[in-house]
Amino acid sequence: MQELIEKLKGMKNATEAQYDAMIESHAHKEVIKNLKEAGLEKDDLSDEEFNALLSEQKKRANSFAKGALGASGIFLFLELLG
Amino acid sequence: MSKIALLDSLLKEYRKWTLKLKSASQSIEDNILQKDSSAVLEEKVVSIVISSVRVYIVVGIVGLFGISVGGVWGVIVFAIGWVLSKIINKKVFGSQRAVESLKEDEKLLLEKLERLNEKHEEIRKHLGKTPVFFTDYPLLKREFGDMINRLLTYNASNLALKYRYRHAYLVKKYQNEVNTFHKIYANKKGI
Repeated sequence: MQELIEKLKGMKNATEAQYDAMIESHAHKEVIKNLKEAGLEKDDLSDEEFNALLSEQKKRANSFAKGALGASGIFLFLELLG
Repeated sequence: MSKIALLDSLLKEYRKWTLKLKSASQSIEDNILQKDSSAVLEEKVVSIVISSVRVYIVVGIVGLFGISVGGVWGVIVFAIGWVLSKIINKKVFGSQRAVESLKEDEKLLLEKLERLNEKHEEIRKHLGKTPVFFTDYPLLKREFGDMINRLLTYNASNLALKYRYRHAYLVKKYQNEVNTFHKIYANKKGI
């Protein structure tokens, strides 16, 4: 998660969509990593199951990023992402 | 479905389920630690709304007596509203809790949640290497029963209102995962 924070901090003048894409990409990598640890691949899950895990991970990454970046004011952009 | 195919399918379901269990446990832990950073912005919006409403009410009441309030007095009324809203926000949204500041029963609850996750991750790690005999089911079932009991009797009054109400929902979600465990591990139908 710290890696995500560093990346977001380095994104000066980025748009909301770019922040969103970065968080989405991070969440996606995390889900794939967790699946691998569990001995699974993406194809072992239905789209619905995969999206549920991705959505949960994205929510967590979003919340964590907002907390960590709150002091620098970047969370205001993230909040707009929903 | 042959027995081997059924077993393979159940083992795959079990692997998936461990991820869902971890997610459900993590949500409960985050809630007890009041870790929702999105509340920071909600809190600010509520503060501004309460402060503004207070200014309008005071200006309206004073205006009934033919006195106009503005400038510095408006700012003072707004500041008083802001302070009051902070007190209300503390009760509703709370603030993040450090693990060290938790009560002993809360620490124990989080520790047991974590340990239960680790136990199933350990079982998952050995799937395929050693045969699954499912002989641990009564013990695992009892552990989940104990955990559900602890979660249901958890004293949520330690939490801010927002997290207090969310706790019940998250426990329900955890219970659903436990029911899924019974379906997979003991291959029970219609739980």
